[in-house]
Amino acid sequence: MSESETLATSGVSDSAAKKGAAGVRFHGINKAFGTNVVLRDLDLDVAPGERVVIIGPSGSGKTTILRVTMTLERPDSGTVQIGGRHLYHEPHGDKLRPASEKHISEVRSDIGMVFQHFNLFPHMTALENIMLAPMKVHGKGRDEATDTGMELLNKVGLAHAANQTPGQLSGGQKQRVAIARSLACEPRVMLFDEVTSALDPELVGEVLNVLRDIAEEGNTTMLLVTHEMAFAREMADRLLMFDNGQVIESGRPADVLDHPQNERTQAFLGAVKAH
Amino acid sequence: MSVTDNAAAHAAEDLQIEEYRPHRKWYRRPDIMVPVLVIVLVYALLVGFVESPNFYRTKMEPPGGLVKFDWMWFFHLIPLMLQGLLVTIKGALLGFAVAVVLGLFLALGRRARLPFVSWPTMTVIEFIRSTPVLVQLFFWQAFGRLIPGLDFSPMALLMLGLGVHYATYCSEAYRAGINSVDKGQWEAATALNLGPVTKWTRVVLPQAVPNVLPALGNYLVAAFKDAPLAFIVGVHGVLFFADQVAAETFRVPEPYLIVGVGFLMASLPAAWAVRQLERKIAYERV
Amino acid sequence: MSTNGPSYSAAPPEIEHPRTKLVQLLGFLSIPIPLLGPVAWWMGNEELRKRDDDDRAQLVLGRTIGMVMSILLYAGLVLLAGMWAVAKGWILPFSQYRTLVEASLVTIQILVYSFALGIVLSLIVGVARLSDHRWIRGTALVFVEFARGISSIILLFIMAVAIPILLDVPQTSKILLASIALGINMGGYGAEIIRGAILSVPKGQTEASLSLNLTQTQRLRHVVLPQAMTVILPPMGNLTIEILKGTALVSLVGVPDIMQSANNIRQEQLFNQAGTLTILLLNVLVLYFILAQVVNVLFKLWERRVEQSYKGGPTLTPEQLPAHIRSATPGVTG
Repeated sequence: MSESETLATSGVSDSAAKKGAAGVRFHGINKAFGTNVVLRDLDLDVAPGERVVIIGPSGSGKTTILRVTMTLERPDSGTVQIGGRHLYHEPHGDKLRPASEKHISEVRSDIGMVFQHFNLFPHMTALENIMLAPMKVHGKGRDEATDTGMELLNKVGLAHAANQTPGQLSGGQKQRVAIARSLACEPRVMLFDEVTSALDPELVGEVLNVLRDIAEEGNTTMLLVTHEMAFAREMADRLLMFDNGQVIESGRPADVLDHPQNERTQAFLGAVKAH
Repeated sequence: MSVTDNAAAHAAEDLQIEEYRPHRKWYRRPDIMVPVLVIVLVYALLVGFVESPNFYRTKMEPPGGLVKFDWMWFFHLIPLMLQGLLVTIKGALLGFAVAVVLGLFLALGRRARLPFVSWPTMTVIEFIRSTPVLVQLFFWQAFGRLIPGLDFSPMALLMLGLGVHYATYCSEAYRAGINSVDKGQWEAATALNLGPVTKWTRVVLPQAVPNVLPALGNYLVAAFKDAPLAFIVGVHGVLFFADQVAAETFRVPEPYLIVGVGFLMASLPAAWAVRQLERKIAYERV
Repeated sequence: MSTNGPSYSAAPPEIEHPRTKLVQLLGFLSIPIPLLGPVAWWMGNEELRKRDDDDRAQLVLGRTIGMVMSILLYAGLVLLAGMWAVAKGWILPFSQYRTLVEASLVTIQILVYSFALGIVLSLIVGVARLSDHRWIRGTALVFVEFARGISSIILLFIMAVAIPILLDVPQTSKILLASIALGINMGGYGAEIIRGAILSVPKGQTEASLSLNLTQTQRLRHVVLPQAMTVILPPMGNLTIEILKGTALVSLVGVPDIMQSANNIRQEQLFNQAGTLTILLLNVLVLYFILAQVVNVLFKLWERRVEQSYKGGPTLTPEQLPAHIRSATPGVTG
């Protein structure tokens, strides 16, 4: 995908792209699990502050690209850049070398991820879950971390649940705490991996509201994998259709959803609508 | 919905915000910590004050040869049996203390990424686990005599034999506890960019320890059941008492039966306590 | 906005792997210095796992040399250790090995007896623990608590020393008495395994077999236990190894098992003034280890058989069905 296309389709106003957000660039990413190839020579540019929604059938590699960005999976080949810095490589002269864990950790601190199954720490309260990374990674004091933690809990509407453990929360509440936990690290890029898929239908709305708030503030780049088409249409700057480890269609959500060009996109959307 | 709308919607909930009060961890709960402290205290008392007697001599005249079972004499043996039981308990606790520490090192060796460390550790664990502790005790005794200047006391032999044997069990418990921590928890720790120390001390171990404690408790009870065996290397525990009394008085059934009863009186409450611990320490999974 | 991000137009720079050369160098160096072989092997593997690109040939070469050299190194070390063991007299005379192997037949005999008794007790008590009658349940619980609470060595002394005097049992049946003691011990633990396994079978299975009007015994025999087998076997294998370890105790009450014959060999050693007790006991430990591994393998084979029986045979095609079923099943012949 060329640069001009990226800019044309991104449609991000300049005010939205604040200093905080960082762009992401994937170049030639390959990833296979054994003989099962999930990402094929993937090239993708995400502009700072852009909100990209990824759709596609299961096994198309859409979750893997998020996990590769979060360094939960290492790509077999290719490079990832976050805000212009290489994630897996360090520049050495005019060449690149595989990066040290320290470098990866440093770049990784710009990224946050919210999981499908929340992955909250069950032995800590909601507030402690949020305070952990600010205190242990960013070296904040307990008071400061408590303040920001309560602020974030308030933002996701869960200030009253600060002292409850994850076991006492509903699915939607857990996911909101997980989002707050991720926000506490002030990430410049946020990854959302099917964050509403494990929730009961009546709880999806509360989580999507929180996502809307984050999008409104606009100081992070957002990559979302989701099955909520209406939500994708409403808030995505760009919609990507993944199939077989590649982007097969990309464009404004309305264009892709209403007038899909690729026949596999048509088939997929047909199946989703029928469902 | 805009941010301000959202804030307004939650205004009512703002009123309910409690003061920050940390969730009470298992180690801050009295219903768990009081028994644990009691056990530690009893442990200290046992280790500090129990001396193993050299002789177990009955004061009462044993009944004549034709009587098969004499109740009076049976009850008369109780205080002596209790002395022996205390020595056995002390030995089990000392041996298990060795096992808990040594087991952790074995578990770490087993988890090592270098195959040149993990394979030999695995072999050693498997070897010690599948051979009888009786033979191992004899082996340590012979080994101690082999090296000049290294003179193991009977209690030290019991500690070594029981400790090494149960260290292999403990290492498996540790390993299972660490593996039982959900993969998502490791991933969440990575996603928050936690360092290795924080990841282990704040995320993995706090979740692994509650899973490990009941298993360790079960192994402590098991070690207690193997401890009487140490009379073969000269520890003056319950079986030594039974052996000596039987040899001196030529009355066999009473001492062995009283030992069985006394042993059950100690091991059943211990097993029950471990089950209670197991029940209490389990917390809700997400 | 483009000023915020990186310049996307330039082609990405070439990626270089500084460790490739190192692995190859270590591989070649391991030919004169075999100690470096494992290092090259390990480092090469780590590198290979991390990447998937075209110039792996050097890495593979370095790692393979390292691998070959490490295997040679280990073979050499094992050979040296073996020679050292022989020179140090770690290997016992052949006649003593024969004594030990003959004695291990007694150990195996006791193991088989106590295993048989243990399995029967486990089944009966495990099922009784789930009985509807309070008295049966209570009795089973008392048995389990007793068998698991008592130390097997104390139980052995009670069975083999105290009971014969109390009940006038002839002393000659010591093997049997010892087996009963170990069998009771195994029964207590085995009952809990079987109870847990029965509970792990989904409730729908029992309900379905009830709807088919099977009796309680039939339900257990044909529906519940076969499914519980996969849950029962692994812990039962471990329990059997524990009982094998327990058989070493019977030497203390005078049964001529492996340990007893080791004592005899020790007397022989002292008489001849040849050999040490440490080496003898080490050999005994190895013998027990081998026996335990045999038990282990037998249970693994059993597990595999049970697993395979779950996979089911190949699906029958309509032509393979017996004629009377084919004609009675409309649509199958279709």
